[in-house]
Amino acid sequence: MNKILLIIQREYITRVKNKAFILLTLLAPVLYGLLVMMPVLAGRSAKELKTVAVIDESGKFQNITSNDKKLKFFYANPPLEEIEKGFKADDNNFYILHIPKDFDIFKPTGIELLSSKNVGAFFKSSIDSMLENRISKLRMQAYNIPQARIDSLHAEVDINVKKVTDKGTEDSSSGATTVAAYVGGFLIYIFIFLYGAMVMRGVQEEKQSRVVEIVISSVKPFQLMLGKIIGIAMVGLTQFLIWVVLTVAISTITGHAVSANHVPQAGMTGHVMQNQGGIQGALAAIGTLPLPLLISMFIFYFLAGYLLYSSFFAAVSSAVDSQAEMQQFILPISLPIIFSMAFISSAVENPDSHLVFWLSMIPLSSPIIMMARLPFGVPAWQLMLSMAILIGSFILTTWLAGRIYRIGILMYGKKINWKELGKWVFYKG
Amino acid sequence: MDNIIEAKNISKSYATKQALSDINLTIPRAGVYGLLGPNGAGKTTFIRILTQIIGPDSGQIFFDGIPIKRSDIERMGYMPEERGLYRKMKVGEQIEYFSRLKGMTKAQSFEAIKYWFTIFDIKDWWGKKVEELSKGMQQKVQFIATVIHKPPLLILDEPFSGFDPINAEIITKELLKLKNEGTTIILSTHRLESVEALCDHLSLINNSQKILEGGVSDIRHQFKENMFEIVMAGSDLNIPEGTDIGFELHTKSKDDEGNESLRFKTKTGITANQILQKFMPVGQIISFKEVLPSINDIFIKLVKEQSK
Repeated sequence: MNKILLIIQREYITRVKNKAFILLTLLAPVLYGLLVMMPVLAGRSAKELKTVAVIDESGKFQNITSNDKKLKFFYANPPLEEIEKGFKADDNNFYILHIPKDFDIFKPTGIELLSSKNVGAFFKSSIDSMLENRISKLRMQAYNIPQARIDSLHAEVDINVKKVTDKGTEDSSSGATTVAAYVGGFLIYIFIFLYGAMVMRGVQEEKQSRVVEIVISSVKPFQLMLGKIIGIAMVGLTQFLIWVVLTVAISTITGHAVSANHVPQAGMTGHVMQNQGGIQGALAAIGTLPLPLLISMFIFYFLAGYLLYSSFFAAVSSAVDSQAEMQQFILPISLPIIFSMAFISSAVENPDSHLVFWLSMIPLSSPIIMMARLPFGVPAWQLMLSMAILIGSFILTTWLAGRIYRIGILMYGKKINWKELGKWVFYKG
Repeated sequence: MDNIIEAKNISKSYATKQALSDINLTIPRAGVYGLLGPNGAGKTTFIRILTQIIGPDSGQIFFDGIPIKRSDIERMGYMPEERGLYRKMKVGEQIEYFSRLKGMTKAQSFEAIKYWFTIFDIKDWWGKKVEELSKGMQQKVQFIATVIHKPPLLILDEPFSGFDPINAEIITKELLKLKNEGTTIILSTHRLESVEALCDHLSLINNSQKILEGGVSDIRHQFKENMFEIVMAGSDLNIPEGTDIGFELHTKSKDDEGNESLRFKTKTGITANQILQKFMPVGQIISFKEVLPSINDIFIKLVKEQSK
């Protein structure tokens, strides 16, 4: 037992001290932070003052005003050509909104936006929506609807989603739940692949450098395999915990930055408003998720799923002589992981369907699918059953892998196929 | 006799091949024991069974007279034919790791490493990564990792392959020192001439079977062919006929100094004095000795006989 600890320690320390590992562990949350901050920062810098000259020959769009402080309208008198000339001389960016004389509110065509540069989609859509608003008001006026009625037409709704539990109703956020489901499933997928591959490389390294025979003259092959798998699992946990802590820290900081930036400005364009409300809402919505459950279950399903798959990876890697030979085995092992990945979206859409239920029970797919189901609420018995099946399975696969591994690591220069691996399980001694 | 290892009726077969058939070996304590045989004879299989890397199909091994148990591997040091170290690990950490796997404490390990680093004069290697070392340097590290825990039984598979003559000399010296301190050393090799001088006892394994075992000088005497060698000064000697007393000329050659070197096969019972009397009148005798066959010769003879 003491020797397994030594092996775990070596596997853990050599990897954690690795520079690439340290860099990735520290940089990933920073990259994540940048990803969150990017739209906010980009939005801020893009908002330089834009001035639009309105040439309204129809007379229907007088005194439209901009609610956006960074967008100004002023009215100019025709002819168009003169203004254009004046702008060109000025050498600045210019925008001219030209509404033709014969403009018909029931056939709204012919409006032009002239500019010295290409016009961004956001800018265009904010002008579009402003004109649309004005046109619908004009139409309402044309139908003789009183102004007071028109003003009262606009309504804003944001439904409060509540979850009914034994303890009463709780706040809930369908957005946050969906995101948590995807993130949970996807992270398990990445972790299993990342650390499964690490086990594979580790076994291969020991076999190729022939150091394995020295180690197994001191410890049993099974101890070496288990020590390696556990050591690398702890590397994964370390990385995950550092990521959680850093992500929480960075989210808090960026969260403050976002809300500081978001001084509610009376009536921004609809689009922008939705966007900013989304970020702030999401931050608030995270609080509605059962985070302790999600994180503890993530750790469980990561460890158990990883143990299941990495024992396959270890067994197969022990049997081959090179990474190249490994390829034929990697695909069949990876298929169930990729397959589960593809089913995350059906788990999110329909977390209680039969298909999803079974996928969250089958040990090859349960780590990913159960993580995707969890945020939506899973009955306790299902969770327990899924966990029990998974624990039983990885004990079985680890045992099987150990049988193959002990033969494989001493086998050189032999082409291996699945049948051969199966035979090794029953070799004695 | 005090034996550290007794292997009784060991058999092992792989899927398509018999590796060991009913092998009995007796390895005396505190000596160098040569496990000799051509490639593929089954030497490595025997060593792997001894180090409990694999199990035998049948038979049993006794360590110090009692059936071998798992914990006995801490009393062995094993250097496999294919050497291997963790390339990315530092030399000091690596040897410490192996020694602790053999049950040493951190402090014991540290002391032992210091001792061996002084002997090999490599004190500044502690923090070097293995991949920075040359092949010969790695061999030294490998050797230290094998002997670090002072095991009573050392098992070295092809110990001198990869060593240059100078390092081979150093290793030989250290091995003899360990032997004098009471360590039993098993040397496994197919290059018999390289270990003949070192071994006290040996066994020959060929084609999964033991064909010979015993003390080195006993074996050589057992296979002696009553051959004598006489070296005489000068050339064109009048070599005497010996059929009357029972010897005949076998080979005749010149040595480096131009002396005549003659080999005679004799009947049993003939004495050295009888032969020398015949040669005394012929000329000046420089040396006279009985020629014992080398282990290599015996081995080749036995293997040829077996394959007939």
